[in-house]
Amino acid sequence: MFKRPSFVHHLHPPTIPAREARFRYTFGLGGISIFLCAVLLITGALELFYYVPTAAEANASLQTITLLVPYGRLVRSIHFWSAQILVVTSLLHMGRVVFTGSYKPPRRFNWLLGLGLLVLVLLFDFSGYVLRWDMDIAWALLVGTNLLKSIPLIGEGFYGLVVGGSEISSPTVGRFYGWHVYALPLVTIILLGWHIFKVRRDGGISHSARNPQSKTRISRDELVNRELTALLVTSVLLLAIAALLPPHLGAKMDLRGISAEASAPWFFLWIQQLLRLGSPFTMGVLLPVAVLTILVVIPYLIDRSSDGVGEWFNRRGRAAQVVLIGVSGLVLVLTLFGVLQ
Amino acid sequence: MAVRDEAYEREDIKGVSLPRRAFLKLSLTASGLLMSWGIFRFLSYQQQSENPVRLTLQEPMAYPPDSVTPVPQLKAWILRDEAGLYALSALCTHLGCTVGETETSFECPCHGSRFNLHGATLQGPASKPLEHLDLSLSTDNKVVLDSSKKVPASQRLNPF
Repeated sequence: MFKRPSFVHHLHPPTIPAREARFRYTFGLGGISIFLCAVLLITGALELFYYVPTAAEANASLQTITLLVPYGRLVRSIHFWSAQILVVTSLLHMGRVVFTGSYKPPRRFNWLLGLGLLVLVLLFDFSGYVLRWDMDIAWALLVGTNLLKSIPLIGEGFYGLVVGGSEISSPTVGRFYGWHVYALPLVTIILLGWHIFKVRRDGGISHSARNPQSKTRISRDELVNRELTALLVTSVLLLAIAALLPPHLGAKMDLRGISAEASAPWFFLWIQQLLRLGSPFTMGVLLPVAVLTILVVIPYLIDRSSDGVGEWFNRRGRAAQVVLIGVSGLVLVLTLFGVLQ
Repeated sequence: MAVRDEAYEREDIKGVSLPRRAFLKLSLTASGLLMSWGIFRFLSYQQQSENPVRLTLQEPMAYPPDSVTPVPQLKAWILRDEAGLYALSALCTHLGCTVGETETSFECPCHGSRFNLHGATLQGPASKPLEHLDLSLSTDNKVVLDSSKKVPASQRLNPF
């Protein structure tokens, strides 16, 4: 009798073509990202037991986790570094997908799910920084939330929803906390489950239709072996980084003084640089949304072809590849300017 | 060929303007919208700010000519020129960072906007000048700053 495969078996079919499981094809980036999500979920759950989401106590409760709780420094450090590395692996994963033409039909919808997850990762990271409630993030939080006010018509209402008052205060911590520990994870789990389900549904990891002579396949066991190896290497590196480089925790947030050197978290430095150049709405809202829109329309407007899937730098995908290089080059240069200032 | 809804064919409900499926769709949409509105309203409660907007400061003579005095509690500066006393909001009109004082200007550390001592913009990205805030005298001859009241840039308090 035919048995429907379980979710895990759906993700790990009895055999898959060897060429789509090659490390030098995927670099294991998607898998590593999922592993980091799991690490974040566990370390985040541990931090929940001590974190107090009020303006008065948030920062102090993180001091408690860092200085007093056994292994607290390590747990927080792993949580922090997983989040930083996740931004990088997600972006590289996106690059791999574009450069191998993997966004093309039938994977167009999964491209959108992936972009949704990328936005979620950035929201997670920013709200995570805010939960530190220290001076490192103070002015970036002020600027980021004031940016919402610049949106015509809905700006003021949106600001109220995010900040929970007419200015940044205790309710703000509660709101970011609610999003960071409940609402965002809920949406992410749904989108992530859908994303990896679709990988198999759309015919597995993308692979070239050419070279039909290479028919080698690897077994489920071999696939799991490779996954575990990647996870082991990632864990060792993550542990080493987390143990050697504990994240900073600044003094308690206080917005009464004169702004000190305000610096956005590194993944938003490019937006901070843009903000120096013009009106807040154009530079801080429209342009980032435009960047996202360009990514969204890659498989729908920029490259509608369906051949060249699974081929590094395939000819039909030139436009999409150039667009991605252009956009990421721009973001990188702006980020570099931000770092150097 | 499209599947036909049998309900449309039935004799007893012919002429009914809202068949069952349409009714269900409508009520689901309506209750969804109602719920969204409820969630929006639920999240939009805003706690009252505890920070003061009005402070009684020192006597006018405490602010000598050409002086620049910070009032950190209200995020403002008290200044004095030939015409008298005036107060500038320290909130950058670009994105709300608090400007710091240099020799002859106010500078925003967030995105580099600069303003002169009368609040006029010297350098972007801010496009609007710093706001002038209301100054008055209390009955016991002290300067009172109200950061909730904006006043024209030309207004001065001159009790001298």
